[in-house]
Amino acid sequence: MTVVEADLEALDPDLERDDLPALVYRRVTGRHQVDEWGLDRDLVAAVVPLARLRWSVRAEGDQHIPEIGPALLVHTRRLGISEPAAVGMAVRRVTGRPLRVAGVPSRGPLAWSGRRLGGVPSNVDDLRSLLRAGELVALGLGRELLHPYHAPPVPVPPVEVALALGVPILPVAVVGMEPARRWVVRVGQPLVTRRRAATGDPTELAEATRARLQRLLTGARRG
Amino acid sequence: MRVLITGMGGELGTRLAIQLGADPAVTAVFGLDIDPPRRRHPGEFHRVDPRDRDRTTALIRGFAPNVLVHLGVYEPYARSSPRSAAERTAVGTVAAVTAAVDAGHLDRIVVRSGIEIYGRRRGAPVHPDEEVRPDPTSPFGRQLLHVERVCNEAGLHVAAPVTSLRFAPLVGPHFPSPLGRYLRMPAVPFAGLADPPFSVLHQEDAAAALLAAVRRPFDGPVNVVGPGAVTASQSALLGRRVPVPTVVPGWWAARWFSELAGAPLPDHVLELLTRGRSADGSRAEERLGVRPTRSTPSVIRSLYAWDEVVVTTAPQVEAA
Repeated sequence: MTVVEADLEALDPDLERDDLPALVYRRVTGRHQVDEWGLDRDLVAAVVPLARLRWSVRAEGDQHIPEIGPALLVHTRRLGISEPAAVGMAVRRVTGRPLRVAGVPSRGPLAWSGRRLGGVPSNVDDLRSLLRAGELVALGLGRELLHPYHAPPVPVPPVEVALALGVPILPVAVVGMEPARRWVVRVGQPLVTRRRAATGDPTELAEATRARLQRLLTGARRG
Repeated sequence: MRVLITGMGGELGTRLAIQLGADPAVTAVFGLDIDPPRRRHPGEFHRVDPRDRDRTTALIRGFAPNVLVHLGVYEPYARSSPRSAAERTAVGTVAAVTAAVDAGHLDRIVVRSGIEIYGRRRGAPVHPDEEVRPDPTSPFGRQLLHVERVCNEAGLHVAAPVTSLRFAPLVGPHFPSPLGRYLRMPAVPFAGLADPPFSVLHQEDAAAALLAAVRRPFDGPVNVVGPGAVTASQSALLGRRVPVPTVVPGWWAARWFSELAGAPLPDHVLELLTRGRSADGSRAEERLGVRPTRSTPSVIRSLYAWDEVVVTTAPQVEAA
């Protein structure tokens, strides 16, 4: 048996209070938690009420978001500013889990805030370590400014990582318009990779993900 | 099993020698280092400067080890100045590995490396696993890469498995570490605009990984990292120190101040403070059968729980 030393709050999140005095106390005593990729859960908890003032998110198909274990959420983007926030809010509301967003800059002024709020640089190696650690990772596709209901190609390397680790891929269509407040997050059925890991073709899987995203977007347009 | 430990005078080497001495499968433990071991141990020890190549070679050939545990990797400002550390590591590695191979009985190599080997170049992964190609960006990282290369070549030569244990920065009570000394200063400068997270490893977890690697050889690198992370400012607050936000030009003053305070800041620690340092150690259990039991925040707390030295006067004894 291995005994791991840790605070009780770190082992049981129910013991951790999220009210303002508790957040401030943890901040001034250094007891807040920052993980290896830079996510600061207390900072996220403090920012969520502000995000709710800015965005109103309706989630459809959210029963597909896993409560435990890793998943790669491949989502569409129009301009790419509100979409990661909308997906993150939907995931947090449904599962209470933080969303890791791939694609923040590795240096510069946005790097600090981005990583504290759950972002990671767009790097296949970091994607692999995040998925192995059981995290939910959002991967934004190419921007579609002129054709928002068109699903762009899904990059193969991240799909290859998910396939190798047997991690499910969730297609997520994000529909809305900057600077409007209302956004709709449509989560499709996951593409299960566990059984395909030995023989699967990542290019084929990437195309299957794109096709599922296209169906979600077409449905959103009709609906 | 005849085990040679280079760098046996350090905390890790001494701990390992004591643990191996209690193992019935180990018939002899032989150690070399510039400093004597820190505690009594059951092995044979020779005090020799790793730069003394002839003496190192003669001693190792005479012992003819089956297992080489190469801990003679000197971190700048831990026990040596950066220049001495680089020389001792480079010359000592080549001398020890060559002599161990020439002795003709070597069937296993375990080498102390570090996650500094991955470097922190722009675009480098934040949390690299063992599949990431080493690309060091600090002198200590390059030292480690050289050590791994020499050991891997030797392993290929004698067809022996080489386990490269890539440790997170080692920190703990009574452990000579430039990062530990820096974080224990009364005021701790940290990167004001980034304050990136880093992970550390307790010396006991490192010793347990070394022992496991000796007993269960694995051919390849293994990251050994304490779970979790802290930032420099958070660490200062945990130790009730004053965190001092610092931006680029301020690091010059911070380095000067920390050197004056007896905690000189080598390049790889400055890199850790400004760009962060962590690695994915999730495969250690699968590859070695052990995993670190102390989280990074608890290691940092233990660093501050280390009591100050209290000077007491000896009781007066009257002559009869």
